[in-house]
Amino acid sequence: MNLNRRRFLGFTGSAVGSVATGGLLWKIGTSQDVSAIGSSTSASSSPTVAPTTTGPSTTVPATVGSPAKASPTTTTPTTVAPTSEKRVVVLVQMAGGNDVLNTLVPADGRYRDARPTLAIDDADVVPLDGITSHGFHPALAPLVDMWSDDQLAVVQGLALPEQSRSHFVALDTWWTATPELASSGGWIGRYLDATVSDEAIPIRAVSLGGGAPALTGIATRPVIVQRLDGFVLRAPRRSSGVSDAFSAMAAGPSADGLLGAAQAAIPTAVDSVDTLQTVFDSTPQVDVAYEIEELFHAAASIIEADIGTEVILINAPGFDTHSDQLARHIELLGGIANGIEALYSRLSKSGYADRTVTLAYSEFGRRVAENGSGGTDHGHGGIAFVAGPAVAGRQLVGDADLVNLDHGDLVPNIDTRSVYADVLDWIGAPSEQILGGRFDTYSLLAS
Amino acid sequence: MNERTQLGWLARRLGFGLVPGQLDEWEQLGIDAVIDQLVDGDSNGVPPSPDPFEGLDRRPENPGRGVGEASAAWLRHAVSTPRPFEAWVTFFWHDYFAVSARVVRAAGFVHDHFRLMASQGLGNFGDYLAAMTTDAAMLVFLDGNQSSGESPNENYGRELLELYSLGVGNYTEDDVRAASIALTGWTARFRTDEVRFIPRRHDDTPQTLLGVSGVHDVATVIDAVVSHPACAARVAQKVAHAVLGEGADTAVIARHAGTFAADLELRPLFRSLIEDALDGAASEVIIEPVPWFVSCLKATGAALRRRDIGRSFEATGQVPLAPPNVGGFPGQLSYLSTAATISRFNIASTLAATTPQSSPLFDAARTKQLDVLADAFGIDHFSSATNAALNDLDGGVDVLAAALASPDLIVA
Repeated sequence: MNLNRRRFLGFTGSAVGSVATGGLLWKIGTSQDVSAIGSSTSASSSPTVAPTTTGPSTTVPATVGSPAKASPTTTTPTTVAPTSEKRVVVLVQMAGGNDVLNTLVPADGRYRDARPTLAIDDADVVPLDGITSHGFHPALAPLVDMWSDDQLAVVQGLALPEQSRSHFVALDTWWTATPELASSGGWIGRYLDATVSDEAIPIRAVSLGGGAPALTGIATRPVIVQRLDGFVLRAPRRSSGVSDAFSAMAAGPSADGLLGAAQAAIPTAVDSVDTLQTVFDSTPQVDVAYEIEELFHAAASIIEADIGTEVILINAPGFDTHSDQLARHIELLGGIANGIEALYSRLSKSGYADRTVTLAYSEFGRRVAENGSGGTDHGHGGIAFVAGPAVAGRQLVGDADLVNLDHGDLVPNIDTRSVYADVLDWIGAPSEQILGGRFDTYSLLAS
Repeated sequence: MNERTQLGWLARRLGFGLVPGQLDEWEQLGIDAVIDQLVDGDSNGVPPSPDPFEGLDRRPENPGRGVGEASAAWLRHAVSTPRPFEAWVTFFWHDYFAVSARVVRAAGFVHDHFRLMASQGLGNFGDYLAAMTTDAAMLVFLDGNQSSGESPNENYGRELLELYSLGVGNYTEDDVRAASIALTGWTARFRTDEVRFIPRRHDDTPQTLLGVSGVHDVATVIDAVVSHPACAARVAQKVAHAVLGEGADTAVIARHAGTFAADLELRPLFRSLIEDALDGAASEVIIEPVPWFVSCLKATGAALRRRDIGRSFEATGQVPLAPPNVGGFPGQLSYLSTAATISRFNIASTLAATTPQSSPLFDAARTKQLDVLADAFGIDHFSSATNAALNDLDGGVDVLAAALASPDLIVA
């Protein structure tokens, strides 16, 4: 099925309804004319802190020691992977526009002036080994060990082309990365399409907690798990054949149009329940402070099940903090920090940490000045966390210049696609083809 | 299409399905009279809808419970109202002005918000937009409550221009600021359960909005907005997509937009689109989870249990009264996702298990009269694959569950 842009966005369970995508039908084209925001040369030469040279040299070992967990299958096809051990990317979409300045707090009086009620107290800012210019929001404390262990890099001053304060334009760009390529799906969807193989891998991409336009290609669609506890088929009575009948409704010559699409959706759904139910059932029950952490545990279980999954997306909404930001940000960032910490804590025990990279990022930033409602309005300049043993960690890349503002906004200095390119290169994807151009990377990941 | 098929189509697409016997009654009335009754109940002797929220506590001690009660009450209303098209229109506006009751939390404000959509959703768009601008639920949802002359909050001002009227590309950041300043001063008070205009929180300085000077309050903001040519075009497009489907011809939409622009009256817009739809201008759509669910409740007579609403719907991607964000519910094809497909199956199982076994529909499921089953949902027949699958099952609850979950019921 050839999906036009509207259908693409609709198909993916995107957070944006038809209301929002109307009027955003980018013309279909294959333009390679990609204009990067700012020069990556200048950006790479001016990180707030010079990249450390002590980042982990770990690539993927030829053989990963037998994972502690009982039974990762060894017969899973791995033809798509660039190495014998499949690498996994975990994307954490911090949707709503995360506030950069209260996430990575600058030691700068101008920050305090702009945030009379929202500034994080000096005493509460979490110091970061090796840098004095910034510290973490207190809720990010669980990530400090990863930072100190060279397993966490932070990139700030990010922006995508056609940056917009509109949630919906920004989301579209966030998912597609290169608007000119929107007709061929989200950026990860294009990767999945470009590396499709004949071998049946049940779940190459899965989106947890909601839909995922970024993961949706033309030929490839992610499995979407809205709620972990609802991912099960419940027939009206025991041992009835209703679920078989449900699958059988897709049998035979498929109908045209939407009926055909609705029929085709059934076997995919039933098969993914078969696969993931076992995975989720084996997930240990853990006490979590924030609900979102459960999704990180589910991600760990999927990785440990070793079923060939390459990309896991975690939907982390709620970052649109127009009001009541102080309290909300604690929960929002706390959930992400606890989640990433828990993910790697589990994966290092099971032996899957080295091959898993996590990118946590948001579609835009917020204004420098607070808004008087105890919040911040939409602004520019985003931030991303890149985590995992494969990361050249303990480095802060990019700038949030509080002197030279543009209409009260930070001026972005790094094209977000530079970070995407790093991740794609690491997973062995043709990043230039997928992003529609070559973006200089910051060597955040040892290939 | 024969007339019964057309009537079935009308019911499925624009009326949340059919109650038993309704299609026969409609066939006797004839399609023109049915359209009259659907679109203009007042002039055609249709009893008014009872208030969906009658008797509910506006300020229950547990706000979450208030939201749950409001959802259940509205769904029951959608099942039982003598004016199903009006309920469908309200649900359309619920996607358009996608206010989430989970964010608003004040049950009374949520009731009033739905009452506003029900009473003005077929009226004049300018009046409707003005009323929505000072609607209590909206003031809470998009931070109007937090907005004062001293520090205007742009959340509503931006969405007013981007989502509710003009669309991206038709306004500037300065327009967002101007609208936000001119709308300051309106607040929804939880404690007193009312909307108030507080002059000292309002900045009355004349603003220039969309090239119109002297804009300083709700009336002048809305005037400037609805006078902009992009407004009628955008609203007409949204309504046309809802009635005709997203595959609707752009020339057809432009024609309707041109007529609508003259007076911004919604009822004639809906009506003329329906007439075009029956003349072949409509394209296929996915019946979304809430309309599908309501149509199943209507056909089966199964009882609506409040506990079934929240979690079951979460996975469909369409929780009634709780759109995921200000942009509304996800696009239609998202309801074919793995999560939504599984959830449809599970909800169908519950509905089948709670359908009264004495009902004619259950009898048709027990005896596998598949065309009778199909007709109860307004379709001529199931696809051959669905027929074969249903025939392989034991008659009764299994057949009913599988039929309710079938892809045939979610495409029209």
